[in-house]
Amino acid sequence: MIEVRDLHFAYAAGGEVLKGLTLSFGAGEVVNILGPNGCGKTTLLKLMLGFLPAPPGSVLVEGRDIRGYGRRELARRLAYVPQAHHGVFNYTALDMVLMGRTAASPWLRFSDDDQRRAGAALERVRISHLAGRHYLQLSGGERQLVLIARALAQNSAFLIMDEPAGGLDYGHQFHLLKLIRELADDGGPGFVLTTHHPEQAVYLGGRALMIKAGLLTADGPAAEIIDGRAVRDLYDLPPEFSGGPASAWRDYAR
Amino acid sequence: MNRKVIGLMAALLLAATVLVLPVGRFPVTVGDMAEALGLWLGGGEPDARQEQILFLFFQVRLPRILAAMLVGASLSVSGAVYQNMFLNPLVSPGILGVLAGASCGAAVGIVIFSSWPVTQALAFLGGLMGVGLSLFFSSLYPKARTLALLVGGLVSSSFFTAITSIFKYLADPTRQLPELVYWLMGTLSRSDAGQLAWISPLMLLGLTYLALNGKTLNALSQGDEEAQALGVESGRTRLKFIGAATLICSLAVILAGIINWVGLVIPHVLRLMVGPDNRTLLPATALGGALFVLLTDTLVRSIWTVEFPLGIFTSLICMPLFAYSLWHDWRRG
Repeated sequence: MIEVRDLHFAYAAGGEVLKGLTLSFGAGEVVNILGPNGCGKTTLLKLMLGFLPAPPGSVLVEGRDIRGYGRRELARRLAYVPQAHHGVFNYTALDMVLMGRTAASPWLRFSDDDQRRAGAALERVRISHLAGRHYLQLSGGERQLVLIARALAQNSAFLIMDEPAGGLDYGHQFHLLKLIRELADDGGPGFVLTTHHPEQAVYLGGRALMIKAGLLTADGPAAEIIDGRAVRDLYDLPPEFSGGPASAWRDYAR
Repeated sequence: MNRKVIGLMAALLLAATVLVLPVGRFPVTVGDMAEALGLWLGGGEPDARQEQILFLFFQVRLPRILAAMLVGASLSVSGAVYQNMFLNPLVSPGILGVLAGASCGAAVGIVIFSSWPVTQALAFLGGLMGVGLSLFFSSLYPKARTLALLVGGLVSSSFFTAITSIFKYLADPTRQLPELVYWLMGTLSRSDAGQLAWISPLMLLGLTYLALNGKTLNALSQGDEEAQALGVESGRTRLKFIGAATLICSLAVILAGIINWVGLVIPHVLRLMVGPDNRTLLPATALGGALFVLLTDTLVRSIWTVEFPLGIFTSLICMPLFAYSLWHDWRRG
């Protein structure tokens, strides 16, 4: 359970990015965060992960202020999936996934349990065959799956993802969302993710949050609150925008 | 597979040690040495020649071999650690200004104090100041600390190189200047058992600490945010590792002066051989660096009657090696 209470945040240079957000994320929930560029989505994720210092009392993880957590403690509760990146060092996929066990055993060898969990995480995203391959030689879609497996290996209650489908081609976006839905249905963890595509939130299902200019404007089941009008208002689109793509994806979802 | 590589390298290092023991101006064979050592261990009474051999072994050859191995291991491991800390496989101990700072400290020691112990202490202090200046610059630009630290290292290096030039200019050209220049070229000819006795425990401690932290280094090599999400206090831990790497590096400068390139090329080449996983890479780099400097040092003190500075040869040998590894890296994609 992650609670956000009247969260305000401003970067050192510039005005307030978040202007009092209050919301909570329950165990096993799938939550899509929508909003135009600069609305504060990514800032919210960074505050929830402790990358940025949240004001005291405004972000609580399992009822405790996030500021009171050590990194290792927090890593056992929240895992982060960055966008598929280039990386610098050419680790094997298995080594990357084993890094998810760092918080559990920071010294010397990985235990048999660590190895088993890493193997299981690769299995869950169905890339066991990539275990021995080098990360930098994988495609963008495969890298994203490795990063998800690494987060799953952390065995935390939530996976927090910043635009997981960003940079992937259309087909891979579809497969990724399908995978997230299956993982969520298959005993979790909870997923909190940002997206630029309302139709993908409809397809993924679960809950949707709309954030505009640092304020929460809508919060409810994705299938109910995402429609042509809501999308028009969120992104300041002209009246002729009909919201077509959202309904198309809804048909996929059924 | 990786364990085999480490085992093989350890065996190679041991074999190299035995092979280079008889190399030098005093004619002696491994058999003679083993005999004298056996006698000494058994508490027997050595004859005059065996006395000489034992003196040679304990006071000359062994300290030099150990110094070569420790310097090679420390420079290489600190290079590998810096590469991970800055997410850049092409940086070296020089990048933080450690070598420039240490050489500056040495210059001050030679020119102003003309005392070897003071020179060594100042070299160490200079190394710390080199990193300190780099870190100071990074704190001026907190938005991109990693990048700012690299720029800070450049600034720090050129600052300390400039100061060193002042002291070269001021140095007494008959006595101090040759000593200073010789130090800057890098050499193991000054290493003795007494110096090793107080430097080696610290070096071994630093090397062990870093080698035991392979997993954390792996996480940090993913960048600050990912390392934090994986459960590592990235800022503090990064500073600890940089501090340990700088310590062993400064100690290497005290033992051998400025030896360039080893800290860049050895970790780079070994990463191509054993992969980037620091749990394997750090021990492999320590062994590889030790082997490389041991063999290069043996070469420089045996092929000519005059001993050449080690630092020149490491540069000459490392450059083509580096070019090859870059090309190989590029070809592999």
